[in-house]
Amino acid sequence: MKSIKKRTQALGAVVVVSLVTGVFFTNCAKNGFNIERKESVGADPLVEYAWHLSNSGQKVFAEEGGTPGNDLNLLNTWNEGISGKGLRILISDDGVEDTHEDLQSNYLYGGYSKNYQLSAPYLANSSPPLNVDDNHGTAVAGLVGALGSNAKGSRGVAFGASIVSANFLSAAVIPSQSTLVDQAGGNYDIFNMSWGSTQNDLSDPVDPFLSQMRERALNGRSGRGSIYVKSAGNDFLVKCHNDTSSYCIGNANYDSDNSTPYTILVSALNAMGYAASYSSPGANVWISSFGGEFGDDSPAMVTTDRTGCSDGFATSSSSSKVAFERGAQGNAGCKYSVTFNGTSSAAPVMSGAVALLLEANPNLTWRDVKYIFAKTASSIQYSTAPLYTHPLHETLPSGYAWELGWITNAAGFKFHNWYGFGRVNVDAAVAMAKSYTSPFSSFIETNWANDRSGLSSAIPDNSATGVTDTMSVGTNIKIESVQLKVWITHPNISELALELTSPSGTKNIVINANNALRDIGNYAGEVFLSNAFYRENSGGTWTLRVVDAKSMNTGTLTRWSLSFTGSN
Amino acid sequence: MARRTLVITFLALLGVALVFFLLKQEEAPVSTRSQSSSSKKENETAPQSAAETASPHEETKVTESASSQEGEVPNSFRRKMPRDISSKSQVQPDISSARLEKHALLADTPWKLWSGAIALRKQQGAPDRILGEVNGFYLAETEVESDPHHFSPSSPLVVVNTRRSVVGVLTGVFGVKLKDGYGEDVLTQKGLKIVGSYPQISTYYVTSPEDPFDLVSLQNSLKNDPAVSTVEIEILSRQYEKH
Repeated sequence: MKSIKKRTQALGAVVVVSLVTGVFFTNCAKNGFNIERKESVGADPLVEYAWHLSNSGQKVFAEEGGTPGNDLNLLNTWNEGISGKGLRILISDDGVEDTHEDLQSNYLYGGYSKNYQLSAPYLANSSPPLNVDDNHGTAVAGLVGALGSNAKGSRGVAFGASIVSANFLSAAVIPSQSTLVDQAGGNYDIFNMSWGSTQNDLSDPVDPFLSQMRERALNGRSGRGSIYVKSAGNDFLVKCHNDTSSYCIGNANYDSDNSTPYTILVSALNAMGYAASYSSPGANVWISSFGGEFGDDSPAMVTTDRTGCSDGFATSSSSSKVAFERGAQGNAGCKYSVTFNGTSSAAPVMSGAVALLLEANPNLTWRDVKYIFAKTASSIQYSTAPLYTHPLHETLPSGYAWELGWITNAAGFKFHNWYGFGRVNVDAAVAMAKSYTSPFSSFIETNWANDRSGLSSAIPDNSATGVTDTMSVGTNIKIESVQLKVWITHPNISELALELTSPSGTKNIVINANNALRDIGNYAGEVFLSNAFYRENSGGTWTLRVVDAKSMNTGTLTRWSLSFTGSN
Repeated sequence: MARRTLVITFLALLGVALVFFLLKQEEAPVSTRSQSSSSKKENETAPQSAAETASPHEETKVTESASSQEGEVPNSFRRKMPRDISSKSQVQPDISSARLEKHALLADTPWKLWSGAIALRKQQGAPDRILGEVNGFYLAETEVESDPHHFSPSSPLVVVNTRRSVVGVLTGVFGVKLKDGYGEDVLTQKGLKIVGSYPQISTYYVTSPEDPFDLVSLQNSLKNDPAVSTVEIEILSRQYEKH
């Protein structure tokens, strides 16, 4: 009996000591890259800096680390052996260094790449950088498909996928309309486009480019549709239109390439898990992925860089505060970078996530992919409170909300112009994909059938009330996208906000007031996309409100149209 | 005795653990930060922002009441101070004194010809005096009047969108959409050079094989062809930026 008591005491002591040691000293709860997680992430030497894969709060080489847990949540998917195998991803950029030690084994040779220095049809074995400024594509490619477990560098989100490239943006190539259309075509599963127009202007749409994306979305992947992943832009803060000194707020919807339903438009989060400082807002944003900050203040992204210390972002003459960028701190040969960032990063991270989803369920259509990611995304800094102040402290009409907080639409989807449906959640998306039944029937496009023309509605100057006009829509489909086209006479459209309210009462500010379109006169049928009404019913009364949020200029709403995509 | 040893050991461990834990807290990444260190790029200062008070909150659910008042920044709008990370800026042309002419070639478009200006591909090298840059082209002055009837692909014309104050380059290429049932042969039979062929969307990019050639008559020929659905003259005005 006594010996049992002593044994119990001894055992108890061991348990207590173990618990204390376990809880306080092993550092495995959150803040470290614990053994289990490290094994899940892989043996690549730089992968511990890849906070977007597994965020333990690592600082990388920055002053501060991120918030643990703000990552793709993909380790279960990887542990199941899903790595994007069999998927072909086109990196449309300024060329990819296919011979890079961490890319070469995943680069698909055999004439699948596109080199726009050649004549049409431009097909080439590879399309490497051609100019000293062609550094971007190699960094983008690493985030998608850097090889895993090869004891080199980091690893891509879809480290088993095949990478091909198009050097559409190479400084050695003049991008024409024809090459713009061409780089969006071909038999690829996923197109990654980490580029766009500056969001302080209303760029002219190139209709054949939009038609090309539509054609591939409807017919690519043997009828299941190719997936276009596009970066939303880095123009939260942008020089105002035709101004070299003043700053304004940009919007992803000003870029006409971003206003189609056929893309997944991606905004960027930083390692703390909230909107990256530069990330463009827009009603056309679908989802938020990871783009980081600048690497010196808080972590940017670790990825591949052009080999050698005279090419790429990491060079011996780099002025970066981070020594890694000059070939130090384990970056011998300057083959990697830890300061790459932007929605350019968020897009390839998302493209990798799409590849994982398509390997998990190859039968998914492009519409299914968008649906699953929207359905499984996580809200970020959830708050329904609107923003009553302009980000640049410009004066607004009294009581006017410049931007809405999170809204929940009538179909139950949460949406925010800064985040789309929220932060991508790979494990949740893959789990849903595995037992997925599509809610979609035949794809319907209403092609601007709903139009209100011949209007002469004066827009009150500097008034939160604005002017409203309603439109009755008879076609009742479950919405997958809403496009708004407007005609307004006004000497300075930057003063105007465009707000759309659905028959279900969901409101979305499609264009915010006091924006970067300074001194541009009139809206002349420009098209803007909103995803806020996803899966609501289209039938009923839609309301457009135009608010002039600055005094002096006045204008008139003369026409507006709506176009829907969706299904019965 | 054994119990006392056990208690002392436990308390000692607890004390050490407490000290370790407190030290760890101090070392932990600071989640709130001053804006000043992140707000400046070399030689460039971004403006103050209402959303600059970055405070990385964990996801916080709140009720549906829009309780924030003016001056407050709700959680979902908190972000760091943005830096301007736009790409290298190009030399912006000054169009205030440009001689602009409306031309039949550009009817139904907001574009006007900039008479006395031509575009030169950057690969050809920079001219002595640059008026500006557009998407892979230098803009330069020329003594020769801009004449779409004698267009040379080696010196494209310059056009201006006065509404948006944007400059573009007219390359001499047309985007042609054919009607259903027609193919590329319709265009090759006209002796045109096919620059890009996209039969899946019935779209082809064409130009004349001659140098110089008459842009206006080529446009009219295409517009009047019964096989052609739409014709658009190519104007390169967009600068694609790497994000």
